[in-house]
Amino acid sequence: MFVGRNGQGKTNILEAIGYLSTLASHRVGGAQALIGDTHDEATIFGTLSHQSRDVTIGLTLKRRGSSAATVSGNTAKVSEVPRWVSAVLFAPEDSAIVRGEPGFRRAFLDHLVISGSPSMAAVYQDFDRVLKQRNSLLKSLRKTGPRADLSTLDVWDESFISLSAEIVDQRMEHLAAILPLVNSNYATIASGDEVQATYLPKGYLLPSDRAERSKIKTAVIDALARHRTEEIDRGMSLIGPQRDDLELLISQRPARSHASQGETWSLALSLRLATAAWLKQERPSGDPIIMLDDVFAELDAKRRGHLVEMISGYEQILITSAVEEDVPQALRGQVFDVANGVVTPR
Amino acid sequence: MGDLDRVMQLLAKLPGLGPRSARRAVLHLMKRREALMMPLADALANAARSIRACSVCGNLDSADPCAICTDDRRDPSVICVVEDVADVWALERAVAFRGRYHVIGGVLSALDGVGPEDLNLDTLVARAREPAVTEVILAMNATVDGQTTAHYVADRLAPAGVKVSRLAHGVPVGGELDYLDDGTLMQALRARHSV
Repeated sequence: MFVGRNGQGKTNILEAIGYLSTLASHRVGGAQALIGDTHDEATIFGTLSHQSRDVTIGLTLKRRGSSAATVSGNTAKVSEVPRWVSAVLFAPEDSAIVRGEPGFRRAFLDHLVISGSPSMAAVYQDFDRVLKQRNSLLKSLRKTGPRADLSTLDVWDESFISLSAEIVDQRMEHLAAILPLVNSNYATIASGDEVQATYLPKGYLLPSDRAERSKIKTAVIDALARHRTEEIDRGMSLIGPQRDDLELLISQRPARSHASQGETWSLALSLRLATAAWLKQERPSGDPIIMLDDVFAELDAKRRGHLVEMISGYEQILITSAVEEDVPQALRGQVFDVANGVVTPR
Repeated sequence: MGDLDRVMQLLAKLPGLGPRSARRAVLHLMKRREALMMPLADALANAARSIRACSVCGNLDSADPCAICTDDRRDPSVICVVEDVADVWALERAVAFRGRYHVIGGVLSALDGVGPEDLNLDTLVARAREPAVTEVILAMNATVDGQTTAHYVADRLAPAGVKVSRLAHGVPVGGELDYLDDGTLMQALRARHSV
């Protein structure tokens, strides 16, 4: 448990561990914001122990140029890092998975996919690169106008389509895998109301909730063909996993618009707990690290109780709190004081 | 600006050198004026005057066409397409390839403003149409940009009717599976062949 006033660096510790597990921050997009204002790079080191094996991961984020990683002192690919680190973070921002913009739900799905299938981190990296290339090409085609040579767009599309289909396929597969767990969690925390979660492609249709990858591919190909003129006119990609959404329903009603504050938190917790339980079940390298970032202040007594009960069986739980008394007695283990970026064991 | 400053400033523009290493290099050169600095200056001047990109394949040489293109012991029926001259050198060091090369001079990257017209492709298509050529090997880097470029080149070559192949991706020779990244392992599994 990390205790300290706000702004002392508690969340920073959890954010760093979270970054190793998914190559993304739960607070900001992109690595640039994670580097100190007066510095050119930031490095995270983490030593993980499972049974008798110790692995030390190093990840350096740079202001210019690409990130670099080491695993036990040897240079490694950055996209390799998540396969060593499995973690699930609960944060006040989680209510946005239910009520916020689609981006929060995509981030939830992508965390789930990368935690469950770490090799997907490389696919996401490639996708980000292709998306940037494609957007930049569309922007320049808009300038060239109708005389533009579209043959290069065709080749970028080819990569874009297969990476898109892989991501959509994996999102749907992982979603289907955790949905029963989400429902049983929700029943425990809130009520017996049924939770449904449907992958929502934007601008294209999928034949079913669990389409084969080849069908996803066909759907994306059709949609790109239909939207090509519009994409060139607007100079950006309008179709693809970067714009899709996840629809959450409680008793058939859209949670985004209809869920109460209480239901929102129950559902957000159910989604995160389902991720944790599924990782515990699927990943051979031990339980995921459970991280609770100042969440107790957000929850009422009943939800606190459920949360404590459902996570107390995990190997390692890291908690941050401004007020020690907010943390239920059952979870108070070793305490560290955090003040002005310095961590002191109590 | 002093002569020394000018040298340091120019050296610092080289890849891998910063202002500090440029200063060290200049001091070292000054200490060994006769043995190193003068010969280096001559060599640079000569190279700047004589080295040209080969008009056939894009390789760098003092002769045009380059020594590889005019070497008649090399197989004229196979062309290996690479991104950069450094890749030609890598393949030549390995002494594994006895055909001819074609350097396209980069990869497609809309982000860096590199389009097909910026790559050395028209001459490649023309060469592929020559009756003597039967196969074109695409040896681009295994990055997204490299592979997308390979894809584009393959499309451009399709009308020429030659066999187009690409390098295999997978387990490096002497590599241990345990240390391989997931992407490479997956590629290697996909590209397995019967023994």
